Amino acid sequence: MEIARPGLLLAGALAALVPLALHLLRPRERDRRVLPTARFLSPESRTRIRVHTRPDHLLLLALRMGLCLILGAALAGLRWTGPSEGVGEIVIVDRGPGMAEGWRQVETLVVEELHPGTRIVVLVGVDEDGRVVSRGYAPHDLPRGEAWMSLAPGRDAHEGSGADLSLPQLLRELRGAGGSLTGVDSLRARIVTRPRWEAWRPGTHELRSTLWPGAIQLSALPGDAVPRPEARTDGAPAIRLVAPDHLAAPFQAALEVWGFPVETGPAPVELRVGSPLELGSPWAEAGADSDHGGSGSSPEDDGGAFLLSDGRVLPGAGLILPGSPAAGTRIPLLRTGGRPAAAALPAGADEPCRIALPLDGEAPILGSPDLPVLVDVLLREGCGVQRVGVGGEGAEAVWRELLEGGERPPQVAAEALRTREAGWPLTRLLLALALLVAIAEVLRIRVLDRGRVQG
Amino acid sequence: MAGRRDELLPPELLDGLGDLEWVGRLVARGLGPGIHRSAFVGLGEDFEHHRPYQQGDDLRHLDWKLLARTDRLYVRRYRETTNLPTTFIIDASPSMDFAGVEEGSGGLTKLRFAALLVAALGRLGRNAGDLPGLAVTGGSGGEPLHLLPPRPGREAWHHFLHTLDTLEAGEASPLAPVLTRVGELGRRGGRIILLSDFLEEDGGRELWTQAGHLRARGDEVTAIRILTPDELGEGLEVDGLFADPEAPDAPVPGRPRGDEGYRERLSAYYTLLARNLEERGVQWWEARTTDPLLPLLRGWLRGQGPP
Repeated sequence: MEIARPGLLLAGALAALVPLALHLLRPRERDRRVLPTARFLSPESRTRIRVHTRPDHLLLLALRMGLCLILGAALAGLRWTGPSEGVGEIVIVDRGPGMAEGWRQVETLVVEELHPGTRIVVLVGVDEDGRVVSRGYAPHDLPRGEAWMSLAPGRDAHEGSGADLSLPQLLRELRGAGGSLTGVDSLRARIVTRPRWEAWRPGTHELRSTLWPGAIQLSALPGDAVPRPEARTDGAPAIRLVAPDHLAAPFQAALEVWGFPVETGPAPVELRVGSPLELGSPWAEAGADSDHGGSGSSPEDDGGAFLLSDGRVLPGAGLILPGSPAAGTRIPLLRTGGRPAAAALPAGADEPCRIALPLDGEAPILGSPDLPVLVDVLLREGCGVQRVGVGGEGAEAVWRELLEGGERPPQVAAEALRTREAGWPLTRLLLALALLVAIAEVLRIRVLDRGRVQG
Repeated sequence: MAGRRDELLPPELLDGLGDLEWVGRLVARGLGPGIHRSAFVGLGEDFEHHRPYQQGDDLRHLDWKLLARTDRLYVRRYRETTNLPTTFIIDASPSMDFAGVEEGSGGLTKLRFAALLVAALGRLGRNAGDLPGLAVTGGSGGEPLHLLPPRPGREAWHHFLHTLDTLEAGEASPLAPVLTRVGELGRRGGRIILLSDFLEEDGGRELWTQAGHLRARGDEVTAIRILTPDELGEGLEVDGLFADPEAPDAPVPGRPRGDEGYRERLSAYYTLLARNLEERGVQWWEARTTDPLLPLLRGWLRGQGPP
């Protein structure tokens, strides 16, 4: 049983005391006597009312008190949620593009560990109005094996765009699922996702604290669960990093985080991993000297600026992964503070991606709030990235700190999460019952009046 | 063996009534023999005075002894006595159907007490040759519930008693219209006995006005107020909701016995009513339903008599 407005229920209970007081204070009907000379009684004696130790007309009193209580309960938004027993576990399976082929791992990673009765909520995308579209499952109803893939992005595009699923959205959905889950008295929460940099956005931690009062168990898909992008050049390493000295280390760290093996050398740093870095023609048109022959261009020459498809120049150093954009390819452009922040150039299924990052001064890549967004964009565009969890094990630790940080209980009271929409609303039923009680009260009064007249 | 208290004319009451006479206060204009002074002087049994013989006087009335002593002719004049048509008007409004605050106390209702009283007075009158009549208020539209004009004979008497014995309360109605109706039906010089609690809505103004009219035309009018001890504030000390049976929707919480204001207002009401009635020549008697009938009648009739 859930109560949306307990104050009104209390008010109803207090109001139920009013009929009791009136029945105690008013002269009893059985004290009603006939006196033909009643007109001569003193007016002041009208106020001389005794308090009776037992109220009269118990049925009428019960009806009146019941009416107050029922009306209070109806206005309090009472809802029937069924018998609450046990612990429920809500599993939010991120179906965002960042999961990529990680869907294959969800079943073995999470679902088989779940208890019967655990509810699983799968986010299937975002509708046209930007609302998260989710689908609830019980473990025994969840599709197994290959059927899981039917939930993968792109396979059921009609259910949502599959775009822009962020940690706040996951948290909100977690909250919503907890509010709608009935029949349990406490809840545990689990998010199955690939940790991404979005978690670092300011306010996310506060949002989580607001939405979910307990700890959230994170089931992070391991990075090696995602296939590496295949190398184009004879299996040899295909990344060479060209960057100014002060940027070489962050770039190297970023690449290592992503799982690309990087070699470093003396400045100007030329990270020769194996095969030469291929620069695409659009970037060459930015005025930088492109090295189509695989020798690369020095950062001084290209100034770290890249020409974007909308004709603007993206300042800063660049990191270009192997691959060349095809003619007419759409280049997603992310903006931060009104200026282009990052761009990603999707490639074909057999072609790696190019990414370009603006670097302001010595801002480390790991501190850039745009990097995780860019990674996510890449993933949405179908690029294969070896490791999504930027930051490696360290980043996962940060994630865990974010999700489970502080002394938070592993499970929380279901009532703390439920909204008034949970369970079956009893308002109409209670109002109908109140109407019946009111009718019964009127009938009872008529019966009493009839008896009084006949008496 | 004593009869029940609510029995009409029990033997012991009949025995006691044998010693009583209910003589009219005014000269009567009855048509039959009776004990009441007739407005006419002439034939009768009670010597009134001597009058010098006049030509044409019946020689049977000549006082021969006085003639022998004085050698003058005198005729004896006698006070003529006659009977008195007596109409009892019983208020049978719902307020009269009240025996006391406590239900089931076994007390007499005011209506029943009035019936007993009327039966006793009627018997007294019948002993003197009076013709008892009965009017009972409480009919719809202010009409009498029962109306038995004064009639002689055993059958009329039995009908009179049967009506009294089966009397039940009717609707609330004022007394004055029935009093007017009785006055219109009866000849002047009759006797009208009102038995009621006189709880009139207008305080009794119309009643004493109409009673004054009847009294002025020569009728003898007596008002007998009947109340219960509870109404007089002498009953059980109980409190609660008290409702006038003629206005049941306006109950009043109170305690009559400990309520001095109640007694004062009650007394003032009846004092005003009695004074206005008495000023118009109406006799005012008071009774409570617990009073034994015979002493009550003796008390009334002891102070009663020709003025």
